[in-house]
Amino acid sequence: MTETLVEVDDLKVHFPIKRGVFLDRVVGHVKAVDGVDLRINKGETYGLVGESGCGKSTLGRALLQLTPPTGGRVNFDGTELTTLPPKQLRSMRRRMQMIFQDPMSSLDPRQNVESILTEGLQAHGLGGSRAERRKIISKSLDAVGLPQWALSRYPHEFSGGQRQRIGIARAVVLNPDLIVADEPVSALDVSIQAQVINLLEELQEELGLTYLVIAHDLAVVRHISDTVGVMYLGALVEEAPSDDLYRQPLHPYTRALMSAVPVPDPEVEDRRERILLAGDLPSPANPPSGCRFHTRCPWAQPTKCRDERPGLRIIGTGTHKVACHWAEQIESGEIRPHAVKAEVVADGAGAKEAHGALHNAIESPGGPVI
Amino acid sequence: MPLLDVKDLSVTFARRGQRTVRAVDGVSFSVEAGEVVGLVGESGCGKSVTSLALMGLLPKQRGVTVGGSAMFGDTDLLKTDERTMRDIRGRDVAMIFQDPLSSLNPVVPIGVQVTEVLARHRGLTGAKATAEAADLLNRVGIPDPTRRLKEYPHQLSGGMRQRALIAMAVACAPKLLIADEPTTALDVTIQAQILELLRDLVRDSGTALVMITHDLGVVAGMCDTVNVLYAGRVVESARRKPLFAEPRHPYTTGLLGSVPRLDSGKGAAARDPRFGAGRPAVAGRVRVRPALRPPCRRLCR
Ligand SMILES: Nc1ncnc2c1ncn2[C@@H]1O[C@H](COP(=O)(O)OP(=O)(O)OP(=O)(O)O)[C@@H](O)[C@H]1O
Ligand SMILES: Nc1ncnc2c1ncn2[C@@H]1O[C@H](COP(=O)(O)OP(=O)(O)OP(=O)(O)O)[C@@H](O)[C@H]1O
Ligand code: SF4
Ligand code: SF4
Ligand SMILES: [Mg+2]
Ligand SMILES: [Mg+2]
Repeated sequence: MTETLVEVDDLKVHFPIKRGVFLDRVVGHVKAVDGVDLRINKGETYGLVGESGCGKSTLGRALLQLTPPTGGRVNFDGTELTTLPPKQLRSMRRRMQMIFQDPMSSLDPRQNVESILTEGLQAHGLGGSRAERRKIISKSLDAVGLPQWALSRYPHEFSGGQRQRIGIARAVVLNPDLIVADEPVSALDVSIQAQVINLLEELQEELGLTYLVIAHDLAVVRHISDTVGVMYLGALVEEAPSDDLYRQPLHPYTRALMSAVPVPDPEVEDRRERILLAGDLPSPANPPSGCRFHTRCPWAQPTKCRDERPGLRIIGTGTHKVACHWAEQIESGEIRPHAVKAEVVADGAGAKEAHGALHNAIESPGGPVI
Repeated sequence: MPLLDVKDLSVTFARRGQRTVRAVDGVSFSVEAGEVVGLVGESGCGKSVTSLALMGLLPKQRGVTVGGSAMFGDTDLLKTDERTMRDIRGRDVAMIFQDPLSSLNPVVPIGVQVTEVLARHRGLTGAKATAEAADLLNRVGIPDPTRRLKEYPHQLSGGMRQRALIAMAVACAPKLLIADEPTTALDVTIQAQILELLRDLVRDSGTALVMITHDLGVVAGMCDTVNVLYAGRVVESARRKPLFAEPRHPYTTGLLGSVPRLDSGKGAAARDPRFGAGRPAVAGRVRVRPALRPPCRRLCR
């Protein structure tokens, strides 16, 4: 019997785009997350994939209420988080931990490992006596495969993979129910990635953890997830059990994304179908009308695609969902792909650049923002 | 005779008060005309240092020692003088980098940067050069090339910048193109566009390509021969298909086994007969052991 731990309903996060000398004029919104529904079952892993700037991190942060949502609801184990008073939210946080991409920047270089791990316990008033705390800490070190002498060392004394283990230990020491892992392995070398992925899987089995794993690497996500959601410009375009999605991707974007991932096998590479997308990702500040993928979709049709936004709908047995008006006809081959002319993205910047430009904009008020 | 023949290339960095780093340690490989050769390995194994040495772009300072030879026709790229090297660079051998922004001049419009290359190596100027530049941008799939020529690098997306850089690199139809992680900074659908572009260029122009990457998938899809680097050495060199079908070196096997593959789900590596039981994660971390010369570096992990 599967039980739902997290239920997200029509979640939205819109960031204001400010202009003017004092950045006091709001000229538009970056719709980083724009209407996402998803549920994560207890003890399972939900993998969220999509390209840079599509809103994965923002979704993860909004789910944990680290970024206040503009709209929608997040239900965590029966409690509505979006309306929870700050104090109760704080105590709820112990049960929802986060792991980051770059462990170095999320670990304080002046704290040794023991103090990094103690901090969370103290903040949540856990562990009781000092001796008890030590026991908990040393257990979590064991769990992540770090030696006990690591306690007195500082983050810079460890390799990237080991630092990520420290980040994981910091999360599991609090005995959480949910861990949101934002690109947990993308900063690591491939051979180290495998170790960290294995560790996350082992911990899940031992501790019954539920994961939301965010990654741009589809192979990593497939490897670790039970269910996978594919994001494009702030919304889910497809969601299915991991194997179903990879066996039979239905959304044109998912197909293109999967055909673009290089597979380390020449035989596979030589005979696979490649769907090349034209042009860049449109800016989330000015997303295309209708289906947000219509500007690049090789299957786009003259009707509906431009003016009607498709929602996620169930196809087939009930676990595979896709947001495309023509999914059935594309799957059956009734609609054939056609060439797409690359569109020049307004302001010469795709989502990824808008992403970077934002930070610059803060330093150059009055300058062109996005 | 191969187009490029690298023999026993070594690069060491010595700094006062620090241990000497042997970043490249006796690397040999060759590139035939029109061939795509892969250099693959994990971070720090010496891929970039190898390519910089070949291009004569390593810092010219005391403490940087380059040994071995790299014959390009009759010229040894490692020993030739800076003037000859400047002529060879761009005209015969061109290079593209991971981060196109750092190799483009931020305050000069794209068009001017492309026409400079054309003027320098092909003697084209004025309207002719501009027309050729627009044609080049068009060839590498930049929409609306005439408008793009007037723009500055920061106005282009990452993918478009990399295209612009490729346009400059192929402007003089070089015999050899060295690409150092050309798609690592890009999203996967953009990476697919760029790889396709490189494949087309190689096929249509007969340019040889040295593809430097940490991604075994990229290698599997486009290289004729592959050299696997580990801690500054080539540990395995093979044609593409045999390398993946029957990797001979334990490091290659470990590397292949540790890559999560898109076409295999949970626990699939464990079922792959090549890798025996369990997913063989390579233990420890790849590191350059300073000036250490055991018979095999895997032993010291
Ligand atoms: N604090 C913020 N203020 C304004 N805009 C933001 C903010 N955080 C994110 N954005 C914008 O929201 C969009 C989604 O960003 P987000 O970081 O969620 O993407 P992502 O999918 O995690 O990308 P990446 O793969 O690069 O991490 C981007 O266009 C980004 O520029
Ligand atoms: N100028 C330098 N001075 C001293 N050491 C250097 C210098 N440049 C590179 N190294 C060292 O040489 C080794 C090889 O570096 P290189 O940049 O070639 O690695 P790489 O294989 O390209 O890695 P990556 O995949 O991270 O780009 C590294 O240990 C690096 O620290
Ligand atoms: S709705 Fe239309 S544009 Fe969108 S993915 Fe489907 S076919 Fe393509
Ligand atoms: S340690 Fe021995 S078996 Fe392993 S790679 Fe080196 S030589 Fe081969
Ligand atoms: Mg992110
Ligand atoms: Mg490099």
